[in-house]
Amino acid sequence: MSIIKTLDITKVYNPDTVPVHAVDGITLSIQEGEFTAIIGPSGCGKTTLLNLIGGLERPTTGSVEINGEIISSKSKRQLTNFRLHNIGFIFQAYNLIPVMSAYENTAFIMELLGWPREEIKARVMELLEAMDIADKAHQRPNQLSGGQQQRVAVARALSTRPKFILADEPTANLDSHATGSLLDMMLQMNEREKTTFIFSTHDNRVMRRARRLIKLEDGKVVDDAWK
Amino acid sequence: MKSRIILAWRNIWRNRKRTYITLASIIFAVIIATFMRGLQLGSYDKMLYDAIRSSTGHLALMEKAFWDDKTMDNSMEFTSELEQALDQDPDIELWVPEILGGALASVGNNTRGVVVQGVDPQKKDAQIKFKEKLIEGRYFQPDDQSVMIGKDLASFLKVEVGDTLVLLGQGYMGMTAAGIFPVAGIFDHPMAQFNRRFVFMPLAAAQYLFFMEDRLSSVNLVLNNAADVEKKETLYQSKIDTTIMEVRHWESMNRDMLQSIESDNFFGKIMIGILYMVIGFGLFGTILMMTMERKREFSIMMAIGMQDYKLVSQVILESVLIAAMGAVIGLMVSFPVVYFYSLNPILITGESAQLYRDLNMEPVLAISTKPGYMIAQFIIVFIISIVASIFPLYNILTFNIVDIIRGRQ
Repeated sequence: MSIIKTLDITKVYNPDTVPVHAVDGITLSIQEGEFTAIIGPSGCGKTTLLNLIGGLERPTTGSVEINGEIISSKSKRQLTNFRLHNIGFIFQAYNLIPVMSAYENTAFIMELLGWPREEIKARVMELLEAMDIADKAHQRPNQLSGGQQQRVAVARALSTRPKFILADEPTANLDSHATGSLLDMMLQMNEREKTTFIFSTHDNRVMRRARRLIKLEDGKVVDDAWK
Repeated sequence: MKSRIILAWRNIWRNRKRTYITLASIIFAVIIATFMRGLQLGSYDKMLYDAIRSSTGHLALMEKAFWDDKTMDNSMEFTSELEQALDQDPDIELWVPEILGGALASVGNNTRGVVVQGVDPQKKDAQIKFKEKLIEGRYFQPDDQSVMIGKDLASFLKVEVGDTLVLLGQGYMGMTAAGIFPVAGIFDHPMAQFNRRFVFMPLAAAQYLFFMEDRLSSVNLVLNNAADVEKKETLYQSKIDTTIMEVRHWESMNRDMLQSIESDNFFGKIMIGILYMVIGFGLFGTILMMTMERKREFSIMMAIGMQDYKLVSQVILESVLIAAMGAVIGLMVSFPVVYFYSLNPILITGESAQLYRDLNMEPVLAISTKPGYMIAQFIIVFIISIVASIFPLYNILTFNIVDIIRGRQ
């Protein structure tokens, strides 16, 4: 079943001065449970495509459909609410909240959704254990290594069992050991919770583990291959 | 809510030095403002209290024309019915009958124009603690034919206790009022005009001197509770013949003082406004920095689903928390100081004291402990914290979160 559909989407920056076509007529469909990597050289439009799918940016033309719902026409507030309920984000620079512990960072989205305290506690501990950082639950980001911080970010993204996870270069700042174990965990969650993962990356280690590779060049899909 | 307060608390301590400096400025402002305002309001209260207590009363009964033309001919008839009503009124702490007249006071070759006030010695003592102001001689009695004068007048006329004073003036209906009175006592009043120009004598003696049998210039009423003024004003209006008499409210008898208080109060508020404006900019700087340095963090929060209004309320909470901490600490520090000085008013000495006396003010700095102005400091700081957040909040609402996350802003 198709969870994400983009229909001939374009994104043009600076349309009035020096137009930059970051995304140029992309049409694609992503199925539930996919573990997909969007690849390509720097500046090819990977992050912009993820932002368009995630409702962080609106396409200049075309439309983005998530679960049959066109999100590109939603208001700013509706989009924020949509992201909260449907999408998990993982960023390159982890982007945890520095004054919160690993536990609190993981619980953050659940608290925004108003989950009961006991349910939050159970889910956070389940995720931190799955990420193998349960013993770091009460440590703040500055007390964790890069790999551990990214695992907390993954736990936060997975916490509310979103329909899909968008991960922008999630391994860019990690060493190979941390990258390997993070990918293992994400694959495990993909299989166990049937969560759809979409990465932007130019990390070969991620490409090797992805089941589908969508290659972009100059804002266009130039290759779309299943393994 | 608890978790949001915890988060706000942690956020404000991210940069400890900055928070300490901001807090210190708020605490300092609150202490200064509380003390300044306390002294200002305390001095107003004291001025009004002194004026009401020692001069006008909360209400005064008088002949209609007396207030504008204080002559004997505008005196009032004091009936036994009125006296009985005043005696039986439980809401009146004190009623003071007075005769007020002008005269020339002369001893040997020295003469000065004076105000002669005929008073009931016991009531006058209850009114202004007159006995405590006596520095020489004895306190006069109701049936005495003697006078009490201020130390400056005594010095000018070169009289001592036991010497006689000639008073020459105009009595009721143009009669010549003249008499010789021994000086029973010399007093030192904190207000200069009393020391220089006032001669006090028993009421009966004054009535005799000015041909004012059964007549008074006015009767001043000091009430137990100032809040009863309007009620009592209405009551006594019903007890007098309002075609020839009136009941005057203390506000109409102290209009000049109230106007000068109003104008002084206005400038006092401006001074405090300037103080708080400076603090407001300090707080604005802190909130702005707290917001701008967390732009990326805020953008991530919004990206993962936090609504902007929740973020805005979080920043307001942080701003209010800093301001409230500063205001509470400031009040906690200033209250004991204010309370101490309310119990032990600051006595002004030397030339400054003389300046106060010359302005007919007691040389004392009284401080108010009314909770209203202290709560006002808290509310002002609270409002400043909200106002100081407006621009930073506007910034949050206009964030382009993608540009910030990607480092383009």
